[in-house]
Amino acid sequence: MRITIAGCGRVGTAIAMQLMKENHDITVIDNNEQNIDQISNSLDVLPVEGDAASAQVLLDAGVNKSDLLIAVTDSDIVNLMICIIAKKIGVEKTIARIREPNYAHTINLIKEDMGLSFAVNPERDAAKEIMNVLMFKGASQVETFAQGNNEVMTFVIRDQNPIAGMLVKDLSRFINRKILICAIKRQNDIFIPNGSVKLEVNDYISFVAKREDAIQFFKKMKYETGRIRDLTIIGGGKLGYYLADMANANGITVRVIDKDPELCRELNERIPGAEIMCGDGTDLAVLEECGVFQSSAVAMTTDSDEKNVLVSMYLSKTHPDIKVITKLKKSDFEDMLYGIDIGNVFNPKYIAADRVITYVRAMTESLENEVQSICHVIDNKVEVLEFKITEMTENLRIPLQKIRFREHLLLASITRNGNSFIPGGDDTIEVGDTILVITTDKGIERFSEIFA
Amino acid sequence: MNKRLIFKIIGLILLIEAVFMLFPMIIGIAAGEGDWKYFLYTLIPCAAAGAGLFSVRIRNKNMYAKEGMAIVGLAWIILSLVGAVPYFISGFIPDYINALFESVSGFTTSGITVVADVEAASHGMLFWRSLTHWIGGMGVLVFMLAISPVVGGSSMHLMRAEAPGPVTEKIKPRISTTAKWLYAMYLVLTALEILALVIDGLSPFHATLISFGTLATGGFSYLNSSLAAFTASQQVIVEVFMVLAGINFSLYFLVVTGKVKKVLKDLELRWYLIILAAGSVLISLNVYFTRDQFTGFGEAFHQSAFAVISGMTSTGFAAYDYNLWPGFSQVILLILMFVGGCAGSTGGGIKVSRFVLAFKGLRGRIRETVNPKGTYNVKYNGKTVPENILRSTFLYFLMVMVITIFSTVIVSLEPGMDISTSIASVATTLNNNGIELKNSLVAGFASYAWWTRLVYIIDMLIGRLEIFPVVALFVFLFRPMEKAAGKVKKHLF
Repeated sequence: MRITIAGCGRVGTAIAMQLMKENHDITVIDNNEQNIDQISNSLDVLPVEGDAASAQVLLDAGVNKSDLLIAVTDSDIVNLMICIIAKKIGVEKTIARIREPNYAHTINLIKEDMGLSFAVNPERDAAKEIMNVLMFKGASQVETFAQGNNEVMTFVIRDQNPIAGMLVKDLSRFINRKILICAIKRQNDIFIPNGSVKLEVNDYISFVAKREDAIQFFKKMKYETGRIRDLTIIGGGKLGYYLADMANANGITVRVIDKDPELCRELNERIPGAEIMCGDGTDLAVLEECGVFQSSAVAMTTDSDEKNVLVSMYLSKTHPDIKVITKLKKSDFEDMLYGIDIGNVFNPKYIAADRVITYVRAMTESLENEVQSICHVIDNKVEVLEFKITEMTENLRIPLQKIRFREHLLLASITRNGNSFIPGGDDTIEVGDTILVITTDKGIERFSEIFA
Repeated sequence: MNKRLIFKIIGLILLIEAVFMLFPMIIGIAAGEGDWKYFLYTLIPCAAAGAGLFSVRIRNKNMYAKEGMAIVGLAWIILSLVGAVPYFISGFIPDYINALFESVSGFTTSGITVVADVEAASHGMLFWRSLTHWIGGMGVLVFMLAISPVVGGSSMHLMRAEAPGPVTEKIKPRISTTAKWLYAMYLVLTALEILALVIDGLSPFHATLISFGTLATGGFSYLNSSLAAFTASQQVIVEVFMVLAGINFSLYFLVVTGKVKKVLKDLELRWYLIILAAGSVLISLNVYFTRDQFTGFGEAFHQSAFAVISGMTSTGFAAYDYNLWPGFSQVILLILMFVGGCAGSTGGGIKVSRFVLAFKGLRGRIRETVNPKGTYNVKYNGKTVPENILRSTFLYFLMVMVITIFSTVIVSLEPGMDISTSIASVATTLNNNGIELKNSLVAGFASYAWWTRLVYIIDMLIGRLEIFPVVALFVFLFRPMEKAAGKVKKHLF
């Protein structure tokens, strides 16, 4: 498919990188020469320098022949304008990034009039994901599938965890429930384990399980499974706002700390239920005064990655009971800080990229089984795909042990008639099933691609 | 530096070269000549080494500008070293440095030959010579990018290091598609010329040789007198395709996609054609009025146009003995050699677009000096040229000057070398040209000292790769040596 991305800042680059791996023809437009230079050196895309809100630039770049335009420049208004122009010159589908809370609420009203196919809001989507984790204290990431029947959770093995040193195949016996470990991150290595892999301290583990089973698993490991009661958000930017709003609506006591008095007043007006405090969230005295050390969770959502990481590191070290959430714009920091506890990291750009890619895959029309939804776990390196099975699928009604699957891939769960289970060798794929596939290879679009 | 990736790509290049060597071997067998086995002797170890290097497991596909340049520099040197082996072991060119010269002259599309009597050469050798032109014309790394996805998104560094011109731009979003398109257009043009020449009475084999030489702007011929013995119509066919080969290939893509207007407005193309026309007129008037070698002005113009096209596109086919021409015509030809073809073409030289940019930049500077408050953006094809591109254009001129001077000084040490021969011989090698204004290379080359020959060889590589990859490679090679020297110094003092 031909895709044009207007604006190649962080989000634009993350989307371009993902789409490039899925073999789309990508054109990127940006009026910043440095951005263009950088992307043309690192990605195999066609770079065009210019203002994407100009019809002439779009026509020169051949955008009228694109199937999809994704507008992710800094400004919501410009994004909308680009989408309107693109629509006018013949692009069929358009996606705009709209993240300003005021517009985000209105966008659904005017989406159709604007010819917008889809609005992506990285900050709000990130806030949603953070909420999932706040509702389940022990996990560092929670993704829900099959209408809530099934979950992929990620956690870190800390010191004194009873499962450290255990083999993967012995786990089920230990917890007496069915769970499936689907990916492990160790140092910079990410892999899908077989039964004889030994779990180690500091491993990131992703597993598939039903909610009740997951709760049992966490209880056995003496991790907390309840929800957070109160949350402190440091940094009242867009993510901070969305998170405060959602947490407030879910009955969590919210406290927001921000340096900017103007912003504080505004937040106070928008979220009446939250406590807004004005002060520097990187100042220990301020943290002390605002009672941050007594909260059960702290989310670092300031604009500066460095500040977020620093405070998270400090909090994780001095107050291990606090659940720390860290927002990062640059993903490199996570790799640089391997082994150092900086809490649960969330990267809005990857979450936005996931949303866009889910949309793009659904656009690639085919008679075969489309991907229902897709998400990434563990540093964006492991892909979880959900497929709905129709008549067209090959290998129907054949026991799984007789089917040869692709490498680096795991068939993690089957949901049949609203019932999810982890498949064994005698199970089969039937029409109507919802199937969860986990892979470290990227770019699987059709169900048939999971077979060897 | 990602050494594993470098090894892997070099391996692939060797494999590609081995496959290309199959063609002259097959032709040798078909022609019933005995020297086909020398190609086999070369290609078996070449393929084995290539396969060995290619099987290196890479940890990541990350590549940066320096890897790109090192790979391109290394690939071309290795390509030439291996390409020279069949000439050498078969005894076709008994001296290895001479064989290397022939090979480098082939790959860099210079087209200067050390073979005194090419008419005596076997079919296989002739074909290999011309095939090296064809591979080198569009570039072997571009060929690799077209067929293999070894490198990831950063492969633009390879393309940029190999393709000529101040800025290298993709014509399609993906590099592999871009490379495929470039080779497709290259192939189609080559096939058209072969067809035209065959219709005009040349044998298919000879038509292929000449077409490889034309489209790559190479210049190897199968006759000792280059193209002087060709009929006028055959010369015209070659002329037309030389002009086409000197044009930026991405313009053909625009033609294919129906954007002819954009092509006609292209600044570089306009200047390229203007310079060709002006050069032809100047030389034809000069030769017509100063010597009476021609029967009429028509013939004088035809001969001058051929010389100008051949000289400016850096093809180097000769239809006449240019030594007999007046000084003015020779000087014009020498200047045109430095101008060269268009960016993104197969032609050599400094490139028309660099001249256009440099003159526009110069004009802007002058206007700014005269009127310090005025703002004068340098525009090219309607767009403002970024300052860094202007700077690198000026620097490129400076580097060409430095290299020309250095090389001229070194080759002038050769006994019996005069001032015009030394300049003309450096000009023809550095610009990958092949026009021999002073008959310098054919006559005396084999007797030159090895270091003089090496200067020419390095100049040809520098000219084809536009300086930086070769210089970068030397820097990489010398850095460890510098370190070692530093250590020795520490111990001594």
